[in-house]
Amino acid sequence: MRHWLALIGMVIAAPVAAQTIVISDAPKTVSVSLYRNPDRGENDAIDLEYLQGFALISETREVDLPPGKVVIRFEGVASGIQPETAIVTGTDVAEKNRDRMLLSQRGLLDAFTGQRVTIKRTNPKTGKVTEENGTIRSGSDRLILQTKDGFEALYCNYQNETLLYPGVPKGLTAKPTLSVTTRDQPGGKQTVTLTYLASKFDWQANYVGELAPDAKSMNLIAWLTMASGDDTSFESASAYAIAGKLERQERDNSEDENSEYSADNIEVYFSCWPYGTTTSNLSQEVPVPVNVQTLSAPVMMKMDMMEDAEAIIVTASRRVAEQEDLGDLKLYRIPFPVTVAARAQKQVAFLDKQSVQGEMIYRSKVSGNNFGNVEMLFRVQNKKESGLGEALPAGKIAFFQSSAGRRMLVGESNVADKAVGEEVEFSFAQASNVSVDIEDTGSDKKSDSYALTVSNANPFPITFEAEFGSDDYTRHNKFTGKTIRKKGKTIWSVIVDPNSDKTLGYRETRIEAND
Amino acid sequence: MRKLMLLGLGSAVALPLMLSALAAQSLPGEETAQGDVSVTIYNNNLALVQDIRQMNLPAGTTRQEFPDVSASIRPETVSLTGADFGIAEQNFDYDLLSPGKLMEKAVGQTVTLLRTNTATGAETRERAKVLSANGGVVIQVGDRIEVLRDDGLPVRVIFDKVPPNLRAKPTLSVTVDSSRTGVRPLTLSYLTTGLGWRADYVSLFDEKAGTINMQGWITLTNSTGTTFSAAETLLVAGEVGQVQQGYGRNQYDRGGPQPMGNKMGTETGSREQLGDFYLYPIKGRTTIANAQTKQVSFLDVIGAKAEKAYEYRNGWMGAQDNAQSAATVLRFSNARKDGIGDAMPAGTVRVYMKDARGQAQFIGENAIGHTPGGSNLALKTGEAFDVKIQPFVEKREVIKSDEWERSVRYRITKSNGKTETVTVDTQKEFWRTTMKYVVTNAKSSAVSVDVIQSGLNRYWYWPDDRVVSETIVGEQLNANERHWKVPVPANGETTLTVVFDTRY
Repeated sequence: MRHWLALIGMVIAAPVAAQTIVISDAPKTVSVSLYRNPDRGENDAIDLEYLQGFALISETREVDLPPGKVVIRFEGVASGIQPETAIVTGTDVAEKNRDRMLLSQRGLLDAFTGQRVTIKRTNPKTGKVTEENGTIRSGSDRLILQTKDGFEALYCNYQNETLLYPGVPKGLTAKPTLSVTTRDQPGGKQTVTLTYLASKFDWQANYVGELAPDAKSMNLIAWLTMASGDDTSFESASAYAIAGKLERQERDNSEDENSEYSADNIEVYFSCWPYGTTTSNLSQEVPVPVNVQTLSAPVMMKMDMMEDAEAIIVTASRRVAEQEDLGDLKLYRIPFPVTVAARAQKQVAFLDKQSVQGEMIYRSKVSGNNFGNVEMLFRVQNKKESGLGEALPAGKIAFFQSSAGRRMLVGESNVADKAVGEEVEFSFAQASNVSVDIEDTGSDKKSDSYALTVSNANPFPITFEAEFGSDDYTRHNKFTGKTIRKKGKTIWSVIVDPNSDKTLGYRETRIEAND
Repeated sequence: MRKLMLLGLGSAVALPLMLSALAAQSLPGEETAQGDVSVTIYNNNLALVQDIRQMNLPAGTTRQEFPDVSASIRPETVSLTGADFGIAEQNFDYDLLSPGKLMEKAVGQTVTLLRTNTATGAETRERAKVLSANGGVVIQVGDRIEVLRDDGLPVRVIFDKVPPNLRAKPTLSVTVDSSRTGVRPLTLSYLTTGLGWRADYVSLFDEKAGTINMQGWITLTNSTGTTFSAAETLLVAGEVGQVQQGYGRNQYDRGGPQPMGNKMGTETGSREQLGDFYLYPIKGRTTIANAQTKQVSFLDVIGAKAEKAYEYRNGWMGAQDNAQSAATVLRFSNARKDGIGDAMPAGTVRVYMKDARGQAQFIGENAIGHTPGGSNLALKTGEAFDVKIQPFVEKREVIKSDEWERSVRYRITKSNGKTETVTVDTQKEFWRTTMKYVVTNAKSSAVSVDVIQSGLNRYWYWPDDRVVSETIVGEQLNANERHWKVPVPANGETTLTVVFDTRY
């Protein structure tokens, strides 16, 4: 096997004579930094089938280099490697190559087009094997062979036939591999660092809030939920998650996707002559019986194993990830080595705060005589004084509360990236026992008068807020109750006693009328 | 098995495999009909291939085939030059041999059918005439007509010959009139699609030192279907020919407004030039394999000056319910005095920073167009987690100004026949909008945020907007945009209040 690989490696060296191939088959240490899909909103869940975030993977590898120009082949890199992002340090790199021509049925047929191959036939009844030489006279999807008898479309015959090739063609590799060519260098044992971006990863924050019975505080636990859709597992990795929004460019991977050697296209589909019979309507596209171990085999095996691996692993220990600033982003460092397994999801805690102070608000947004549903929200000032004061990366939050000795889910919400010092509102449910009504109470040529009534059917007092927005040409004024201004909005905040209501009168005035 | 071998040699250190000049087996993949190849690659999926082949031409008219040309060749651009011959005809045959085509062309001809008896395994051969190939293949065996494989049993169909113009691969052939027999160099040149290149920049930003280390890589891709062996390769930074009419934007144009601080420079780079374009030759000969991505280093600069900035651009009367992150912008110059000192071909700049333990982490990327030397670049790399801004409209009102404008003018003819001009002036009315921008900073160091209000000159009928007051002195960038530099203390907040008067 080793020899065979070496032979493949040769091809890279072929253009420049007398180059040495060094194979590095696994990293010594690896670190994986996960980045959230920048285009996924805080209320969208991770789609395990279609992970759109990415990871920065940094591997240190030890190689023993002979002096001179050397080709180093890095095997076992992430399958989602974006080769144009690869950085190699520790040796003087002149050139980096990523070859997609894979050893596969397509690769063999393409390489042997115009060449001699052996056709092996097995008699279905007697089992007698006959071999015959032939020449491939067409491309891989349209296979035609020339034998001493004439020309045949091999796979249109439905015979027990297969092709035998004299060897592995040069230029085909077993898996997508990154290789580098060094400049002249002295040789010796070297530690080389390979860093690259890879697609098909994602992460997000998941919060669990346990509301106190009086709803004036909560215990907040937060998890980093990390997912990998890659085919490669990274064992004992240093893992990080990076929060914040990065700018990314749409990646031109057309050469990946359009290549005949991409995972989607590599399987050979063979077109035959018209197959219609008088009794059936058979398809003209027939998959060729696979007689070569293609790349996709290990991939498929992994997919089969995915069912088990997908189970969410919750680390038993509540060891909390450490947070630091990375420029204008937030970096979470997992404090212990983790295995970022292929096609799996994993959770590590990053926050554990007891008794975070906040307030429960019932709120409706009002404009003129229009009002929104009354939402229940838990408002927290993200400050040390409130028992929090931590960066909160975007994610989902579930609220629980114990009621009559049972832990109940009271609602779910999501939170955008929130910095320390910000006010955070978790709007987690729609109220059913608090309602709003607005009545017209008159109008003149420049304004309309309304009365807003909030009714509380709960057996406990609530804090209600009516939030008055404004558009470009109207304003709300002449409030009959006490209001405050907050970020361009007018807020009427009132405590409504159990089983009672409160009313506020106000006007909506057109600005062009001049008051 | 491989693990064992490695263990046997103690440690996971990879083995150097000195296989340099292994005896070449005659396997496909290395022999090529190409001669001395040179490739010039442009940015816009276009390349010029020149291939000098030593060919033996007999005297007289002969047809010469040129295998191993690009499968994505643009055949109309082929030119063939050499000594002592003339070209009669050039053909590019792209009708490909396939089972369907083969059967269609066999209509009216005789083929051999070879059937295997499924009970005994005995093989029988018979000759059959193909009558048609429409949906199914109708054949005549002796005096019976049947549909091929109607019984679902295996049958081999052996054709006597293939039509001459059906080929395995698209093939270029040229009919030449040679005045003498003999080997001579023939220069074949053509344009092909499927070869392209772009630049990828790796920049490590050191915020404290205010520097970046910048590495530039040329990324070459080959999807022509053909490998170019030992080619002399030249890359041209620019888009040649293929002029697109109209207002088309090229692929590197970034939609929407760009951060402040972008300015194209006037320094000439150090590279060889071809007219308006810079050339990037690749040292030595290189093989560009089919389906390969190849990267070659072209720029390596340490310690070029760079700085970070925050920016937020607000649309007219733009109000936000939640504070928005300011853009993080990396500003640097490729001027000689600042370190880079070279033109930068279009591509992607990826920015990295070291974390607290010195591990490089990715912090964002952005695209640049072809950038001449001496340019100032400002690239948005992401959004700041801790630096946020919430713009909102605090107040709207209508005010009468002290100004008057002439709104009506009449000419009146009086009963005595005299004419008189009457004018009516009205007081100018303005909409007065008070905007507030609350800028917050959760970082432990002070920052300065560039706030830009746009939309001040939206329409031709909105000519005399004015700024009545502002709590920080702003700067008018252009008729449409005003800019304020807002200092925000560490863990603090600054509110910028600006009052605009507009006509509508």
